[in-house]
Amino acid sequence: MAVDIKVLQSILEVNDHAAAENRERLAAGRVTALNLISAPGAGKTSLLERVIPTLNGATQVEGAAQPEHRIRSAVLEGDIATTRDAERILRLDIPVVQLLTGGGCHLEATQISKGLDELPLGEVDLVFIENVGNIACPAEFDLGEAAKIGILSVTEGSDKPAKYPLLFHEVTALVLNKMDLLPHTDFDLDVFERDFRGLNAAAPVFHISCRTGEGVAAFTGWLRERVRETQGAEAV
Amino acid sequence: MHELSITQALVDQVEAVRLANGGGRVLAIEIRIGTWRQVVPEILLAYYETLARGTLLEGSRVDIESVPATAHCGICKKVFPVEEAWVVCPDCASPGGTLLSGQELDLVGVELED
Repeated sequence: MAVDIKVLQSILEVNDHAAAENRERLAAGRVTALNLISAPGAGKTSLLERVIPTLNGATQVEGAAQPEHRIRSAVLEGDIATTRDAERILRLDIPVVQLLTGGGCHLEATQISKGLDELPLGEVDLVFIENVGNIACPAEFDLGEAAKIGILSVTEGSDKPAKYPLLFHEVTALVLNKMDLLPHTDFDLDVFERDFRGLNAAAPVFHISCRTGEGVAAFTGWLRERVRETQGAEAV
Repeated sequence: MHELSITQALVDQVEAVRLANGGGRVLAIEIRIGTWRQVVPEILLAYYETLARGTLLEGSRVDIESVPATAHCGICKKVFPVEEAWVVCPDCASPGGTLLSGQELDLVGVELED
């Protein structure tokens, strides 16, 4: 004798439940959380080193009419091993928590809740979650973030959106990094644009170079918009 | 590689269903996986076998339904199958359609020994 039990429940229910709790907690504190996803070496940490001091008011944006409202950032740093990236972020003098996955290829929502416990959330406007370097697995897991941001560097090749469609479909914004190296690569901007738009009609694409600083201001402006959305127009 | 944590979540979920329904041995489970998810069924099955070993899930059959990806065109409203990495409407060529199916990752049912 056998008995059939109907379940129909997401296999990722535990993760999705923790993600929903993170999202509620962040919304209650009017904190914007952004999930940064890229391959290893695409420039996630370098991007943070560029944008965080600017948002914080530590470096003045060239050509800006007046100093803008200060945005206080914190970082949850996901890595398989070592605290090297967290050490780089610590030099920016902001709160950072290193989340070590011990071999795990992505971050999960329960790890984010523990990370949030260790952050002074009342003194933070923006939490960057730097996922483990990988453009396949992290796209599968909701962490409770407000948006996923993809980072692709031109040295990786213009075929990546077609090869990793889920990530490029899921992102709210895409940063195309290492633009200073474009002439030295076979990266085809037209192929990239066509393939990316085939997956994602709406996400803005920011052409930047973390090395030279080119294009970083436009992306920083977009980040300010996201924080303004969370906090209400009068706050920022 | 993320199949391991997905399979661990599945095994925990099946165990919870088993305990809530009399605690008998698990004979079979039914899951469905959308083709848009990056989950490799063979890897999931291998992990399942390993994680089930020595438990009342050991030896249970895993039926996997593969759900094809379909999308909805925001411009001409057509519903169309998603071909590989293209969410582009085959009728009006508009890009960026909304996925209707293909992202499923569900436990559908569990068959228990009475």
